Amino acid sequence: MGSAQCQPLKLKITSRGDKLAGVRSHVGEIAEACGFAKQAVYDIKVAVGEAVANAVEHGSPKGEMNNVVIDFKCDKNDLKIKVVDEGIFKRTVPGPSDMADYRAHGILIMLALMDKVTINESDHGTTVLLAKCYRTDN
Amino acid sequence: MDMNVEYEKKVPILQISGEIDHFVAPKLQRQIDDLIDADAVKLVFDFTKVDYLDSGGIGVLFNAMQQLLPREGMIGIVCVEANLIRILELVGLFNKKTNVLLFKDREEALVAMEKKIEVG
Repeated sequence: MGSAQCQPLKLKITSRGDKLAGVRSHVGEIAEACGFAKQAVYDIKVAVGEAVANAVEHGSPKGEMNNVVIDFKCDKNDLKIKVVDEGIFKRTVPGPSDMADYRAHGILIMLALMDKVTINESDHGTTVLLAKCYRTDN
Repeated sequence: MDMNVEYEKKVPILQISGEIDHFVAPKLQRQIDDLIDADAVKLVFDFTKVDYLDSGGIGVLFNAMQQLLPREGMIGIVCVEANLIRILELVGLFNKKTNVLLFKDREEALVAMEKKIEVG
C-alpha cells in the first residue's frame, strides 16, 4: 500500500469528449500502480472521470481550443488528483434538496467515492482536487 | 459503447456493452427517445456487459424514468457488477417512486415486466 516512490505525473488533453475513455484508462493504471485495490481503483476512475467530463462540458468555453490538465501526486497517505480547466465552475456542491436534480449527480458521485473533494474557482479556470486515502479495507 | 435493441414479450431490451460516459450518453438518449416515441412504456437495460457508467449515463436513465412515469411505465436494469450497482444505488435510481428496478438477469426482469402488464 501507498508507494511513496510514485513520480508526479501530469496529463494534458484537448478538451474533447472522446478523450474521456483514454484518461480513465490512465487513471486506472496510476491508481493500480499506487497500490489501491480493485474497488478503490474503480472509485478513483469514476470520480476523476466525472471531474474531467465536467471540465470538458462546462469548463471549456472555447471548446476544443481549451485544454484540461490532470495532475497526479501519490504519497505516503493518499493519491491526490488535480483536474484543472479553463472555464468557470457553474455549480456549487449540492445539498440534500438537490438530490432530485440528476445533473448534480456528478458532484455527488465524486463526494461519495473520494475522501476529499475541493473545488476552487478563479478567473483562469476551475480546479477540482480529489484525494483518496490508503486504507487496509480497500 | 455498443448497443442493440431486442424485443422479448413485446418489451424492448437495450443490450449495451462497453462504457457509458458523457461522450456516448447522447447516442443512448436518442435510442431511448425513439423507443418512447414509438410508445414503449417498459424498458429493460441489459448492463451485463457494461463496465463503466458515469453521471452522463445516469442522467439518461433518470430522463427515461421521468418520461415513463406519467405513462405508468417501468424500467428494469439487469446488472450484476457490484461497482455499477453501488453507483446506481448511490444516486437513488432504485426506489418505488422512480419505478426503476434492479434484476440479476433478463428472465427475472421480463417476469416482473409481465406481472406489471397484468396488474396495470
